[in-house]
Amino acid sequence: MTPVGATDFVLATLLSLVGLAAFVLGRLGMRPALRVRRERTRTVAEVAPGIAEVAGTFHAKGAGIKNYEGAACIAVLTRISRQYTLRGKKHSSQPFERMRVAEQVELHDAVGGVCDVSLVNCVLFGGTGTWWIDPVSFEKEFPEFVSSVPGMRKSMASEVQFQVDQVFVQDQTEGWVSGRAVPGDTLTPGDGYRGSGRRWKIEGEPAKPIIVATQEQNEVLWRLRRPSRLFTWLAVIALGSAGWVLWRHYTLDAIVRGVAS
Amino acid sequence: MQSNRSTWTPGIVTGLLAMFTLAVAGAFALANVASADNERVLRAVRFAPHASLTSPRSGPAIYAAQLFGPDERRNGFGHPASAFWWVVHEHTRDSKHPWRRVCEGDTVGQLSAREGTASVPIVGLNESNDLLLVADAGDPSRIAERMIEFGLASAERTLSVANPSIPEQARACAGTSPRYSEYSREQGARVEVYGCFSNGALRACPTGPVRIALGAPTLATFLDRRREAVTDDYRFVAGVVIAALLMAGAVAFRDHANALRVLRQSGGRG
Repeated sequence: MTPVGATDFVLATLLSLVGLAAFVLGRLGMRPALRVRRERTRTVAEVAPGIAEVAGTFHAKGAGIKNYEGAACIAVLTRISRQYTLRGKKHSSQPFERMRVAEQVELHDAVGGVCDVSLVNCVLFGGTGTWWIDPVSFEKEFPEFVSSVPGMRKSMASEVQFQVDQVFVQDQTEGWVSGRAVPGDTLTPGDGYRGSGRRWKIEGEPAKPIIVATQEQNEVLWRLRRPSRLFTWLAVIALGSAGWVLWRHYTLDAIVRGVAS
Repeated sequence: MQSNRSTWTPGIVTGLLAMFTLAVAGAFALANVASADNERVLRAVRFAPHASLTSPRSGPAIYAAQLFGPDERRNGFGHPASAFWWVVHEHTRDSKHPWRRVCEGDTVGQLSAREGTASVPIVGLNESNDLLLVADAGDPSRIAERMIEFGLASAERTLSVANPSIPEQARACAGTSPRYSEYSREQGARVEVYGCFSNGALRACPTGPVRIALGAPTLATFLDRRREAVTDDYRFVAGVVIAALLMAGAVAFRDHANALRVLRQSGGRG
């Protein structure tokens, strides 16, 4: 029997330690966001839970966060893939068939793309909403996605219906053009907002409070996002490599001992 | 409202992540490619069945026997030997590598394997130029279809050109301060031969990652070297991963610290 190579275990231990360190650093990276939450509670009570919710969601559940630097839009979408439907209207009275979109990535892109082309007057909300999008800009951003939807053409107004846990988007102009909603506002179903030719309307019963985020809060979120995700990625690679080293070690050991695998 | 985006460096983090992933993926791929041949040889020899010369079997098998060469064969020191491999090193002025290999050769022809009353010739061990003689020195990852593992050098001494036992080729390549090393096995030495038995002889197998291998006294050292070669490769990957992790971690940490600093500056609430 071949003696056990201590080097492999040293390497695996080292990799595991580095991986755990990266994981801990990634977790610690969100602590400032929680501190922001505590301090916000004293000043803007409604906003704070939303911030903390996003921080917790993307770290604890690994939900996707889309960050668009141009629009400073962050969307947190956790359970959307099977709930996303598209409805197009060739004319105002001629709706076409609903489509289920299976891939969550497309959805992230779709929502982000809407934010990206809208740029102004985004709203932070959760629950079920109806989002009128600009199909021309939408198709420019996601031609494959649009071409997969029958009847969706440039000339029509389209409607996107979706259900999300939280969507954070930022208003670059610091507030609403219409002046009807400002950061910190809690929105309720039936509220509608207008700005730059886009109409927004909240429908249904939101699963969570609908809150408008400030630019500063968004800064907190998307500044902390990348390094934390990088640390998590490093941890996965390190721990995976440690496992691979041990797996190779025992595989070779089995061969040398004459155990077929 | 204050904006601090100018200090944000997503390009660095994204680029770093891409470089890191590429480095790790490349190291994994390289290790797998580099170690594949040795692992195939290791598996082939380790899982080959053992057989006896008195009742040989078809296909690759391992035969334990005694090794014999021509009766008159003498090694470089004048002792009877069944087979030997010699190396001549020359002294250099390089303090790190004072000895440089200048030539080597083998005397491994006309061998036979004997077990009890059965004696069969070993054919095909040195019939081509791809015979690899594996010793304790050198790169363990070297591999060939025909291999001999003689283990440790039996002796080393300064070459005497006048010594008639030393192969003529060794004397010819000797420089001013040569050192003659030899990996020799005596007549009747215990060996294990991996090969195929056919037409009354032990031969190189027609196919396979290794066609014939001879280990003295067993193939265990030979297998250990194959394992060592594979191990070296995956340890190399682990080293690359650790280095990449540390590098990426340092940049990520710096980036993260920068983000926190910006956060504090943006309102003193971080």
